[in-house]
Amino acid sequence: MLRRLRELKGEIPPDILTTNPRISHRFLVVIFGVLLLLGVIAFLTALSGPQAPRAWQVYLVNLLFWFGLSSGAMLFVAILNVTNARWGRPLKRLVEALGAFLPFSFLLFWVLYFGREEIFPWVLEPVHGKENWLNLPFLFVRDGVGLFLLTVSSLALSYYSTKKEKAILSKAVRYSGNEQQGSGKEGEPDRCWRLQVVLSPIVGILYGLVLTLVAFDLIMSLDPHWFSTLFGGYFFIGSFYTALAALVCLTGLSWKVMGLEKFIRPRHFHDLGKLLFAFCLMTGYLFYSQFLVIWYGNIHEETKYIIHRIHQSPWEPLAWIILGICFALPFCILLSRKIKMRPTAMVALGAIILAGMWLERFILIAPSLWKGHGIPLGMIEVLITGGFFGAMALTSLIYLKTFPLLPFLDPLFQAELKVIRAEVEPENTRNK
Amino acid sequence: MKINTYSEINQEVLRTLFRPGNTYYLLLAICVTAILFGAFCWSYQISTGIGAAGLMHPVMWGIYLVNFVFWIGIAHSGTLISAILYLFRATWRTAIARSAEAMTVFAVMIAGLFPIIHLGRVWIFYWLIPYPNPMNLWPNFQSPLVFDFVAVTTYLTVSSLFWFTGLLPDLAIVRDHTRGLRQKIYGIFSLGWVGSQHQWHHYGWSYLLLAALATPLVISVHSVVSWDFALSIIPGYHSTIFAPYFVAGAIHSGLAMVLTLLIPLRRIFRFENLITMDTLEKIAKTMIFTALVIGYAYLVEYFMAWYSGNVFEQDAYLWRAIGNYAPLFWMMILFNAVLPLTFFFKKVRTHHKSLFIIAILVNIGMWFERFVIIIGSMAHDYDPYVWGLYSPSWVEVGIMVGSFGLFFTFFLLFVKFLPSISITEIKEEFRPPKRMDGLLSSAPHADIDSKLRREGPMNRRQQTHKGAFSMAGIFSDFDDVIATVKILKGKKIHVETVLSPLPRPEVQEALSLKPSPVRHYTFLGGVLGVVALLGLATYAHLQWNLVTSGKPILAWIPFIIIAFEGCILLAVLATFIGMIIKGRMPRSRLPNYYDPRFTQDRFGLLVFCKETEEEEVTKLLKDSGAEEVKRVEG
Repeated sequence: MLRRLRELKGEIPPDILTTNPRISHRFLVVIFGVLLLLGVIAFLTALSGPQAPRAWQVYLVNLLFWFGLSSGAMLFVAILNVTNARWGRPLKRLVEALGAFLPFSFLLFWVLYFGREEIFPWVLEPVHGKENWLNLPFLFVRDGVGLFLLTVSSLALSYYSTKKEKAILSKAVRYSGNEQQGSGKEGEPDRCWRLQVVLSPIVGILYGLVLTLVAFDLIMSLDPHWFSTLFGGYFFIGSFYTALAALVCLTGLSWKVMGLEKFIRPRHFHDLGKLLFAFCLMTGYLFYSQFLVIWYGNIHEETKYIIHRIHQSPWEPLAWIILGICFALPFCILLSRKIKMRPTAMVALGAIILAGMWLERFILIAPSLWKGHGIPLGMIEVLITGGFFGAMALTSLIYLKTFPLLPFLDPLFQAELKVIRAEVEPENTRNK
Repeated sequence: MKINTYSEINQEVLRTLFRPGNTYYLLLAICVTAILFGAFCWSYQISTGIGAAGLMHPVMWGIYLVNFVFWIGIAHSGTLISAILYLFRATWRTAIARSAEAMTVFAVMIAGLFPIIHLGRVWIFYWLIPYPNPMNLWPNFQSPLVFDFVAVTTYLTVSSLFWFTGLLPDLAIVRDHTRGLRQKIYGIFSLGWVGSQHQWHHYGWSYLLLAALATPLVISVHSVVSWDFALSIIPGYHSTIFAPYFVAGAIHSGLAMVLTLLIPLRRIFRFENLITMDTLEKIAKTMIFTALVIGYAYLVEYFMAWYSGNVFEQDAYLWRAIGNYAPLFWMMILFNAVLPLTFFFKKVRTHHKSLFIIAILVNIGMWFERFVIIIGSMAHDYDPYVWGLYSPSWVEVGIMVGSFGLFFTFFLLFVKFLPSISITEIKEEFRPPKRMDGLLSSAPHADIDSKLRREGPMNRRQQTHKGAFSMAGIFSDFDDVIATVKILKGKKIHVETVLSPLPRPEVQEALSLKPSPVRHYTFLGGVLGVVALLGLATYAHLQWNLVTSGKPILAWIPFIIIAFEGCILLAVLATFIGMIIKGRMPRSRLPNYYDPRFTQDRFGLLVFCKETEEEEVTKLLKDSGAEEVKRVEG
């Protein structure tokens, strides 16, 4: 085991494994910590004032957005394992870092209980015929169980991915490479790998079911007379799209900063770009499927929801903006091969898509809850969203600091490393 | 047989062509009989009237529609395997891609028959085509039935072109292994393919572009078919999840049909070393995924029927489970969503008997699913006084039997006239040939009919131009070719092209080819397609400007579908044309320097040189390892 690490250390400098980013770690922690703190303060302040419904509204939007992003990231890991994909292995740890927010979001879910009257219209006015489903105890039990299962299985996936590497790394850093460690059974990483392979389809199935449930309960029920069978699917594919955009951002940002240029090549960005393009189309397709069926059927119970959001003021301009940012713009930009391989451009595009998808979640939720004038996007929203972003970034940062940046014990990563080495070599000789 | 070299691959796949056994003729006879019976049933229906079918109020769409959706569904997995898995760089698709694509083309052709069979006045089916006519009648471009027409036509065109493009190099291989009339026919269809790097270059780009275009197309086609139902307001039809649900179901039934066809095929042709158990296992795993999606859709539909509080929805879904068609419903759930989950167990998914049985059951289950949805919803909609049942008449069953016969006939013919495995793509997975392999297979290469005399270019018609000529070197070792190209470039001698049995990126890099301009053709075609079809729909609706079903006269929301299909159709046509033009095809006569071994395992290096350089170039080529060096006029 340790011999293998020594071999790898010849290629992977130890500082990569122990992650010494070129931007000061402490500096980032402070920034994100401040954002988080500001968000919490803004939220609590707003709750005590007349703006409480608005605070709860944006809390819900953020919870669903960041939770979706996080679980989408873990779905990406699951898919990498299920398909035995080799290309994405250098990105594996970065994706898992995005998934580190999941347990935090599980806790934040329970906070919704305190805003139940502002959020769920059927708490104060129960809906006839749906009381068996739309009642508080049942909702919190089923969503709680679902989120719990999803969080636990995703955490297990991360755990087995990093367990052996973390152990080896701490021993290797403490002892400087020449000793033969007696402990460390040969079979261990295989067991960890096999557990990941078994957990991945479970995470995949739970992802689909739990996010559907969450979409039905926390978004669709806000308008209790409206329904759409595709709504759950639309939510979880949109969340995966969001996760991909976040991954693109993170990869592009950490590429230079974490010294990963030797391991993440332009073709990785190309592949990520292609995936992003595919899921842009997929999300757009699902959006259109719902839209077309509801428009064509022209049944009042169904069209009311859509018309409210795309024809009535103040939401109409926002709907068009979202269509542009989430679908039209990425579609046109991602057609170009050159742009997909430029990290800076991809980071910018990823950020724009994230903003667009946030607004998309906003326009699903806010018109159902907001009774006032105009679009409720102001300081409260910015601060609370900043708070969630800070929390997400903090958990990712802590994860990346704790675990090795590259999954060096992953057999598919080792295979990918060979391919990368073969590509880099002729470039090195050419440059010389 | 263990395969090590390119020529062995050729032999292995080509030995299945042309020499059928008695079993084959028997199967063919059975299938043709089925076709004849189906044709008889259809003629009976045309002469008697559509009442010969079991269609009766309220069920106006019977098993003709079920079969239509069924066959379109089967077609989908072919495109999934050949296009989508190509984009994902999944190497396990290689051995099954060709058969899967063939399956797609045949299934779409058969599916396209059913809307016509369904017509009362079959002889005026062409009224659905938008053309200027004295009655000023235009199709209603907002109707899902017209979306169907546009989408299925596009799908047929695109999948045929995609299949044909993939076949081009393989047709050249067959051409080089046959003689006489067969050689002429394959020669025509292979469009004079020689395997030059320019051809490979544009071919590679075109194939990628076609795959990238076929992927959204395949998703749109079955979505359009699903919208035949979802755009109505009948409970059980009107559901937003229909589009992805039908697409997943299509892939599910298609994969089952792939297994149904390939398991016997690999057994009969002894292709076990090419279509490995690993491939079949991967298909089974993909079926787990599609089964889960379908199970999810069933769950969500049932939940939403209850949650909606809509009495009609609730009753329709309840009736499916406990009404007259209940046995079909429960079999559907068992076969589609539950049984494929047994593929989670390795023993089940690696044994070909269990794979085959489950595949057949999934096919049956998916057919029942279409029946339950289409007929079950119509039989039991809003008004209890118009509830009624349906059962297919012998005419409908006969036509269905005929359709299966037609499909298997096509497939049997395909398997005997075309290579059922993509030879070129298999070669790409093997290491390039070395000189030793050339010695091993120095005997006259595999020929289906008889030994081909190695006469080389002398038999071809000579073109004589004064002064200018080329030297052709024939190599058996791939690395030698690359090295020679580099040396020649260093000496500033013009390398015209390299002829090879398959595309190699090293060669293209050595020749410094720029990205193929075919993608500009694609883009232009796409834009033109959007403009053209959108323009057509707008014009048609302005001509026949009646408000139908309360929709505005010019509604951009349904026109998106028309524009989308038009975009894909013209983009694909443009890509194909671009590839043909850039590859300097079609060619009736093969060039002087062409040697039939170029499609087997030899590489040709064509160097353009002047009189003075002839000695030097010949010596250089011989030193670099050329087996033969020929002077080629013209």
